Amino acid sequence: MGVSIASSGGKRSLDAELNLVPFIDLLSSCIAFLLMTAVWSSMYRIDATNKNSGAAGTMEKKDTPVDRLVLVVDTRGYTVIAGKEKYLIPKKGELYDVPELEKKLKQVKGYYPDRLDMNVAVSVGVLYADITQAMDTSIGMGFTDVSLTDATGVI
Amino acid sequence: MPIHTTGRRLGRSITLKTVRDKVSGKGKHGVYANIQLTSMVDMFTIMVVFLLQTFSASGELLYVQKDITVPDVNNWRELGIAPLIAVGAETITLDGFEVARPADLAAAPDTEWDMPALEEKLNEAKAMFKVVHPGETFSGEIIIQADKSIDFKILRRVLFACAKAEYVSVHFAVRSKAGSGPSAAPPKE
Repeated sequence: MGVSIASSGGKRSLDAELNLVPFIDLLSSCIAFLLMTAVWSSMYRIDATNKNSGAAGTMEKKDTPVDRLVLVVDTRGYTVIAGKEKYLIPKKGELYDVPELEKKLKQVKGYYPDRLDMNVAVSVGVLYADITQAMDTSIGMGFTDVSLTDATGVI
Repeated sequence: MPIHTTGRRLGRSITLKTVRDKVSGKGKHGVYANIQLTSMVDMFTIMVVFLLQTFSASGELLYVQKDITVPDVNNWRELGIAPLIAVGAETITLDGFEVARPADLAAAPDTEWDMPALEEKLNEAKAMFKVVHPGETFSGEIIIQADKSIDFKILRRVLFACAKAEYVSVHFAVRSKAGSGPSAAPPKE
């Protein structure tokens, strides 16, 4: 840092001059590095356990019987299966009724607060965007352990 | 006392001509110009702050293919490194190598589930993993980067081939919706 000094005999100036050269050097280096390492399109992930490994629509057999939690996504809409209960959420026109699904999943979560698993069963004709939307909604409602399977034979 | 003509007298005693000219105001203008640095430093600072905010330490792990538009979700997690199956409208690739064409899969009957070419490549990748990582357990992780408009009929066959090759932990590549955050991880069994 350089300091301007007044002529001899006079008072010293209160203004100090910063040496900007190293500061500008540092900023330029930072900009060059950050521009080179910049990631403009970050990709993330949404997880699912793949259960398309055999007979379609089969559930895992466990020692203690548990109520199955299934979210069926087909061309008519959503069907939430919680134990023996079934709730049909039909499409609104061409679009899936996501707010209604959220409400229903929240209600199911109230019945099964300890359950984190949700089996998303999809039928042929459903688009990938709608599948991820259903999975995303399930995760958002607290069913973080999502598995994906074919819907044939589930209902 | 002699009378002198009026004029400047300051600095006449200086012997060095250049300095004398400077002091008396006769010198040439300097060739150096002062640059206004304040605005440039301001701009640099703003750029550094912006680039630091968008900085990602994990880097770009996979590239988005031209014909693939991945869906946007609210509950996402950070992407790791795993074999990548890209399912586009024109082609299906595993780590860049074409394994099938979606049009052929769509034309097949619904009862057709197998996808031998993909299964074979996945088995090769699994065998390679075991060679490269001899002490590690095979996690069965795979990333699927599919276009929004892909039918589950095609995706189902890809998933079936993955499951047959023991790739059961599927990560769907997505983008984050604006304002969304990472989701909580499911508990490890």
